[in-house]
Amino acid sequence: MKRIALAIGLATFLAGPAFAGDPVTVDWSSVPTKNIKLFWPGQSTYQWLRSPAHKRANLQTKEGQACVACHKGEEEEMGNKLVSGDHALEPMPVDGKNGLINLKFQVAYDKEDAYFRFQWKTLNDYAGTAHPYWRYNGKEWKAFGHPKLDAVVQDGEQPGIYEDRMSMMIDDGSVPMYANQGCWLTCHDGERDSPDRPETSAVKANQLFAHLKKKDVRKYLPSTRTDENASWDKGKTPEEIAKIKAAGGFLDLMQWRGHRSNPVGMSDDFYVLEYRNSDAGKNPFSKNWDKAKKAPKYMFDAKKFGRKSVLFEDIRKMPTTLIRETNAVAFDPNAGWKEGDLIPEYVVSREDSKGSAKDNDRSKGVWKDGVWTVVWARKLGLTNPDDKALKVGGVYSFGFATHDDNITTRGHHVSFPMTIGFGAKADIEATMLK
Amino acid sequence: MDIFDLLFKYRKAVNVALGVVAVLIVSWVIAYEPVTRNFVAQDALCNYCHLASEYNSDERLSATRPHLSVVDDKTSQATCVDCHLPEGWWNTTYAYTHFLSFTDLFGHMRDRDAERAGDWIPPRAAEAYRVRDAMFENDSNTCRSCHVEAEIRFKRERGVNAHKLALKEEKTCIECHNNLVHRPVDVREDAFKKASPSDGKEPKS
Repeated sequence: MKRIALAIGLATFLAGPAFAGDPVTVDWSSVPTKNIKLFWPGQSTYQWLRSPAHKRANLQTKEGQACVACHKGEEEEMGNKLVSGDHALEPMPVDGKNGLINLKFQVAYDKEDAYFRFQWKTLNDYAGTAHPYWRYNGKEWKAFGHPKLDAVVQDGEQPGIYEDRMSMMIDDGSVPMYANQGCWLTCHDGERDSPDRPETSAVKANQLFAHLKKKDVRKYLPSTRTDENASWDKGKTPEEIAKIKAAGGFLDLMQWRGHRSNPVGMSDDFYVLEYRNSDAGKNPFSKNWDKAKKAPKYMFDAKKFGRKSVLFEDIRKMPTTLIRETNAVAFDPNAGWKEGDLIPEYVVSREDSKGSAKDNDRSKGVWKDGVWTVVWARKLGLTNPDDKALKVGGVYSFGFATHDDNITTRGHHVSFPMTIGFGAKADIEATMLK
Repeated sequence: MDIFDLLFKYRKAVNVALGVVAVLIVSWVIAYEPVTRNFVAQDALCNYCHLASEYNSDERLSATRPHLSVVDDKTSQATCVDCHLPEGWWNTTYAYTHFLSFTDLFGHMRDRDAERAGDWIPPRAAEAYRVRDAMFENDSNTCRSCHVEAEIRFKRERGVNAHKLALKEEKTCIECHNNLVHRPVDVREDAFKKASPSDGKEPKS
C-alpha cells in the first residue's frame, strides 16, 4: 500500500512540467530547517481564552499578551493533555489521536516568489488523499465518510474520511493582536465543532449571515463584530466590514489540500475577515452535486480512469480525486449503479480556477514513508485586495496548521504565531536564493 | 490597721499572689497569639457569621484544588486566619475587634454614593474589589506572608514563563492569581491599573 501511495505521490509530483518559480526545483538543502511544534488546541476559542476558565491569563489575553508569554515550550504538554479528553476543552476526544506534530519548515525567496517547504509525519500509514464521497445505496446517493470529530464517526455509523491539509495564515501587521495571539483570534464559539454552535435557522436569520448567504459560522476576526466578546451574531454592517478590508485588516488563509488541490498542483487561497472567505475568482475545487437532480454532477470517465466510480476498499490505495479536465465526465444516472459505488463529493479543476483564488497554483505534495513533503511557491508583491502581499524587506506574522488523520475544522494541530522576514530580521529569516 | 500593714503582715501571700498574676500575664502574653490563631479563630467560628458556601475551606465554590497550607501535603488546607489575620501579637487583636464588628462593620454598609450614581454593585463583589485593590496597592502582601517568590517551585513551564514576565513587568500576585478561594467574582475591567504620571493632569493643548 505504501508503494502505491508513493507511486500516487510521485505521479502527482511529476505530473506538471517544471517552470520558472517551480518550488520543486529549489535546492532545499541550502535552506535552513526550522522545527515548529504543532499541537492540538481543542476548543480554545477566542471567548474561552478571555473567560475566567483561562485561569490567571484571561485579563492578560484581553490586553493582548502573547500566548507564548506563558506557554512557550508547552506545546507538547498542552497538546497531549487536550487531545486525551482529560480537559474541558476537548469534549469529543478522537481515539488514538496524537497531541503533537513536529513540522519541519523551510522558507526561501527570490526576486519573484516566496517558497515554502513543509514536512510532517502523518499519524496513519497512508496518505490522506481521500475525501468524503457520494455513496449509492441502491436507491439514491448519500454522503459517505465524515471527519472524525463528527458524532456519526465517533458513534461508528460512518467511516472517518477527510483529506490531509497544510495551512498558512498570514498578516502584515494590520490585524491587532495577531502577532501575539495568531490563529486564536479567528476561532470562536459558535463555529463548527466549537461550543454554543447555533442552529442553522439562527445563522440564516442573522443579518450579517443573511447578507453573506451562509448557513454556518466559520473563522472571523473580532474587529468585524460589535461587542467586546466578538460574538458570532453581532456582526458589523457590510459597509463597516468593507472599510476594514480596504485598510488591510484581514488575514490571508491558504490551504494545501491532499484531495482537493494537490492533484492539480495547487493550494487554495482564502482570507479571514467577517467569515472565511474565498479570494475573488475560483478555487480549484467545487461541490460535485446537482441539487435539483439530487445526484452528482460528474462521475469518473471509465475510458480514462478505468471505471466510473470507486469502492470503499479502493480509497487510499489509488487516486480518487475527480479532476474535471482529466478523468471526469457528466454524471449518467443510467450507468448501472450498484450499491456501494462511490463518487467524490468534490470535483477539482486547475483549468477552472481563476482570479486571486488561483494565486497558489504552484504547490505539490508527496507522501513517502509516512511523511508528507509539501513545497509551495507564492508570488511576491501580489496586488489583489484580498491578499497580503509578501515583499522583500517585509516581516510577516505566520500561523501554521495541519489537518491530519481524517479531520477538519478545529481538529487540526496548530502553531503559535511567529514572524518570517524576507530579507529582514524575524523569528525565521527566509533564505535568499541566487 | 491600714492596708499597708495588712499587706506587710501577709507579705508572703501577697508575693505569691503577685507572682501568680505575673506568671498569668506573661503566659497570656505568650499564649495570646497562638491560642487565638489555633484555638479561638477557627474556621467554624468564622462560619458562624460568614456563609460556609462562600468561605468555608471545604466548600469553596471556585477552588479547583485545595489551597494547601503545607507544601506537598495535599490534606493540608489554609484556614481563614492564614490569610485574614496578619501575623504578630498586636495584629491578633484584629480577630477580637472583628468579632465585635469593629473593623468590618462600616465596610459592609451599602455604598450609597455609588447607588445614587446608578453604579450599584453587589456587596460581595464590592468587597472583592476592595480587597483586590488593597492587594494591588500593597504588592499582595497577604500572599507574600507565606509565598516567597524566590522559593516557588514551578510544576509547569507556564509558571516559569509567567513569573519571569510578571517580574519583568513588575506585576503583583493578585493581577493573575484571583478567584482562588472564595465565591468567584469577576475581575472588573479597570482593575489593576497602575497610575501614570499624567493621571489627573490636563492634556497639553
